Amino acid sequence: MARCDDIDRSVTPYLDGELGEAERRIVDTHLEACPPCARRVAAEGTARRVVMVKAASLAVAVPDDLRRRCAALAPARRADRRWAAAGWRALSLATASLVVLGLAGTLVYGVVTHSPTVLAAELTLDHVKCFALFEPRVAGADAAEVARQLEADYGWRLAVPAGSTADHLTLLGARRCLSTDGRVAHILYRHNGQPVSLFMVPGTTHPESRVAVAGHVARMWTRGGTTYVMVGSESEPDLQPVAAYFQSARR
Amino acid sequence: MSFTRGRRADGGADGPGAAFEREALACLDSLYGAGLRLTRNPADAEDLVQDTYLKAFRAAHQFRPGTNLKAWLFTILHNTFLNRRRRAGKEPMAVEAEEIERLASDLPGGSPTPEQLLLRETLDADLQAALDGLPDTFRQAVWLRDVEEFSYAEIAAMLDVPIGTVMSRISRGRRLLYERLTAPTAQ
Repeated sequence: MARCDDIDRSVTPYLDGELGEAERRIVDTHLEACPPCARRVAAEGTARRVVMVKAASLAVAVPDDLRRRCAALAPARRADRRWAAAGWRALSLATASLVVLGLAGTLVYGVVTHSPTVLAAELTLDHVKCFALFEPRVAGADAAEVARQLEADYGWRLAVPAGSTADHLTLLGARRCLSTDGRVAHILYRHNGQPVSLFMVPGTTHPESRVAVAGHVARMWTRGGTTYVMVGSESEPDLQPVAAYFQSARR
Repeated sequence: MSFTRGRRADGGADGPGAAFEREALACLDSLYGAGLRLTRNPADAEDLVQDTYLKAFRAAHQFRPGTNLKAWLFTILHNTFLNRRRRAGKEPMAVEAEEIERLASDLPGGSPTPEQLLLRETLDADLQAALDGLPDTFRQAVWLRDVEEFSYAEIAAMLDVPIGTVMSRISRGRRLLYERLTAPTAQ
């Protein structure tokens, strides 16, 4: 029969089901004939079961703050958030040059020739997509900082309307939307908690119009050589004061 | 508990980076639980876990897709804990364990307490106190095996010790735990 010392080394894998059939049989045979070893196995097996069975009750809730801090360390998530305050740093130099040239009136042909309906549809798609994929987690961005970044990155001098407590409007940030060839500034807001976008298309003119697209309304107007398009899904009466605020902020 | 065991972080529709981060963050509960058992102090456990994620995200390129992400994170947690302990001027865990392993005695004779009785009568607080009272290396080995269900090989890689040492620590830890749970003061 195997010696107790040899058996002792096999007790843990025996209990954990990690022994082969032959080794297991040797341990079984020994335990039947050796009460001290049987006691040790029973004791270790009992402690093992107690911990396994009660493991769930030992779990401690992770503090929300720790969860938030760890998530904030993830690079991909940080990248999502960065544009909210900083603007469009990600735009390449080449694209930026293209935009600047476009402002000189030579390369904005694609945007200028869009009909109001096509432009409204395209921007409504951007509105839905950007809020679904990229809505920043940081609310209350600073309008001057967003505007400064737009000028620094693209040479666009655009006055970005700030959020307005009186109008229940919060500025979230700005980004570039690829579906409009990256030539349109997309400013994101929340109005009464609902997403509202203000697009600015520098160097273009469009007649004032209103286009309904897929449950959204796009309002379009031009001031000082820049076309503005506001997109939201709230009702007309709810959005009217927001449009008025944007228009007055522009004059 | 089993969802991350051996689960592969191979990437997804939103790219390998985002999938990696999502899978890593899904291990937060396990890492915090293990961190609490290691440090026995919520504030230290939070620091340890946050530091672990910081290192993991920075070293994400070193993780080999197709291997066990949770085990990789536990390795970082363990090494971070050891480094902090060393900086604090405490004895490395291994030395302490070797001494205690030599001292660990066999169980006293007499009839063992039936498992059902112990399961019924052990309060959560008693079990926690008994676990926290174990030497660090034993507590860690028992936790990794019986709570987190890592394999001997995974634990050995994590702690950088031979598999035989892992089994020995688990064995000693369980037996010491049994002694403490059945000792008169724990009843």
